Amino acid sequence: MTSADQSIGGFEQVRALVRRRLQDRDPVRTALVVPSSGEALKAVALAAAERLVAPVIVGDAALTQKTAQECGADLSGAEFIDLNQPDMAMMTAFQMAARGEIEAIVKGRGSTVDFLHHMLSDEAGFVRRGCLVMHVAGIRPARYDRMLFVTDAAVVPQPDLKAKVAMLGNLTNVCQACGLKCPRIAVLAAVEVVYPQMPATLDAAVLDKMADRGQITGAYIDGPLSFDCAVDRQAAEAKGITDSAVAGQADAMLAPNIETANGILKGMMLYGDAEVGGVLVGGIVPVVISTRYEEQEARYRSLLMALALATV
Amino acid sequence: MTEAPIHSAQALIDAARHIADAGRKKRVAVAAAQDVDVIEAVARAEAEGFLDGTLIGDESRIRQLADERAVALEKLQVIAQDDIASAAHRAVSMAAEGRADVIMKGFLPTSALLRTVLDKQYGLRGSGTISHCAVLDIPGYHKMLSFTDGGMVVAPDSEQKYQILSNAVTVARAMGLSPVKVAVSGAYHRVSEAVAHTGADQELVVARARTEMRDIEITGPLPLDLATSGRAAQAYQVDHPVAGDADIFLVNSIEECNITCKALINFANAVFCGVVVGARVPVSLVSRTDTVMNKKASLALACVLADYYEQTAHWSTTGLTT
Repeated sequence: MTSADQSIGGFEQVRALVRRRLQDRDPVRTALVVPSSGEALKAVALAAAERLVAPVIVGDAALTQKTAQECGADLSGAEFIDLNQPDMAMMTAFQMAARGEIEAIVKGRGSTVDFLHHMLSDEAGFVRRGCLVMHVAGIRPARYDRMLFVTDAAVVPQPDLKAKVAMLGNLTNVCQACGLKCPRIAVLAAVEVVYPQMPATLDAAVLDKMADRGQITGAYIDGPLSFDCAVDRQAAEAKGITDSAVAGQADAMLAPNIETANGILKGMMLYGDAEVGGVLVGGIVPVVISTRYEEQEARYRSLLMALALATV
Repeated sequence: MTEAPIHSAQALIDAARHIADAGRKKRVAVAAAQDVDVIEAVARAEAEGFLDGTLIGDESRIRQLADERAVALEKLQVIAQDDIASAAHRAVSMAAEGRADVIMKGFLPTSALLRTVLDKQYGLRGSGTISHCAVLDIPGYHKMLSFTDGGMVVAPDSEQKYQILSNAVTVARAMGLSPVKVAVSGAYHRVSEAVAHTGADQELVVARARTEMRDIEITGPLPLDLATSGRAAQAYQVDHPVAGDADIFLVNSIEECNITCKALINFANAVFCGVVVGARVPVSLVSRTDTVMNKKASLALACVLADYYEQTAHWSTTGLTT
């Protein structure tokens, strides 16, 4: 493997990969749902201008045109599906994806909780039976030498062992789609040893053993690892962890619960001097959700993750 | 007691020094002091004039370790007590007899030290749960943010959660904060069946804090961004005095606390200090991976808390279990 395959330096590398894959295929048909968010429109318009996406605007067409004009987003060439009820727009986009008419979805305005509710509903037909929908954040902290993919900050509150197995599979897929052949995944806990009274350490040890025995493949997996041991080789060595393929150089992390992943993500967004993006996986196509205050750049980075998944 | 609210690690160290300058220098008893990082931290703090340290433990080992790192021990008292259990007993006894204001952990397991501290014969037990309060100085946030509990209570019930909160509020008051602003952590600010799993407990804690605690603002669930960023709170139209201005982030699990703090320490250059709260004297822990600043700030935090106990006669009003 070349060094480029061994870690992802940042979103620019994901962008280059997506561009390369799009050289011999059409731009990704991407639905922007409830589109009256200036920052989301700008991000999609930028990706359209770069011929990364073919936008399909699902929502209030007149309001979208007005918003686009106000924020200077060029929507010429976009396809419009005029639906002024947000609930209807969301459902339509999920159903279009289920019919194979859409390759990626970007959420514009509105509550994420409502959006998830529609997405997971039977009526949408967007999630195949047995598939687990979850969020993967892509984070490039200024003080780390690579991108960190972290799950799950947004959907699965308190995964059990079975869910964690599925989550490791999804997480590996995202890393691979973004160009990492065999990601180094840390199963996080508060400590790096197994304590019977701490269930997160037990699950981590089991997942580690399942990977040893070939029940989980495609990634190097080590757990339990504390956050510092996952990203700092010296901290790992101080704790006596010297034979790990993950410690000190994790590309990805499975957090024990939603608040933990959310804490990492929000902490890095606000204080980590980090480039951040995120994508929902497990549905028929990748989906971008954003926090309301995220600007065009962050939404564009999230879109890149979705495009990487859509172009595999 | 500190007059001005403390909003940075440096201000915490300054406050400890002011307390010493006012003639109330705190006395720190170190249990099993044969740990080079601990010796160095205490020696530095002593040299800066904000505490008097007593090192209790294997004296020859203590002197050897100090030599190896060229730490001067002249100003520190050293009490020979080779056996670890006896050293813990000696340190805790000093606190029980009013001859030490802070107990510091040296070369022994945290659990062993706390067992000694909580042994009823010493009368140092508080009325409730013992918890760890981590106080972070995060560059980019305009005040310090406490995270609790990240080390003591693995799966707290709602009564324990309330006591964990109460301990953190005491630390905040010792830091001169008024009102104390508490955000109860959650991934979403809207409680939803789809994503909530800690709702009932949280509601109990919030409701009880609102009726039983004075001078406190509390709300939740709030994710970290809405708790500490005014801009984020505004975008989500969360209009509450705590939003964007939290002093305490009450977490849901030991993992959340530990991992979020470490992410901020590793990648956001946060200064970390912490103290074990709930016994009649603060218990200070530092670890090898702490920076010099972290260790100094942790000791300063323990001194500031000890002074608050003393100045407010905290334990005579809160009550001790014997």
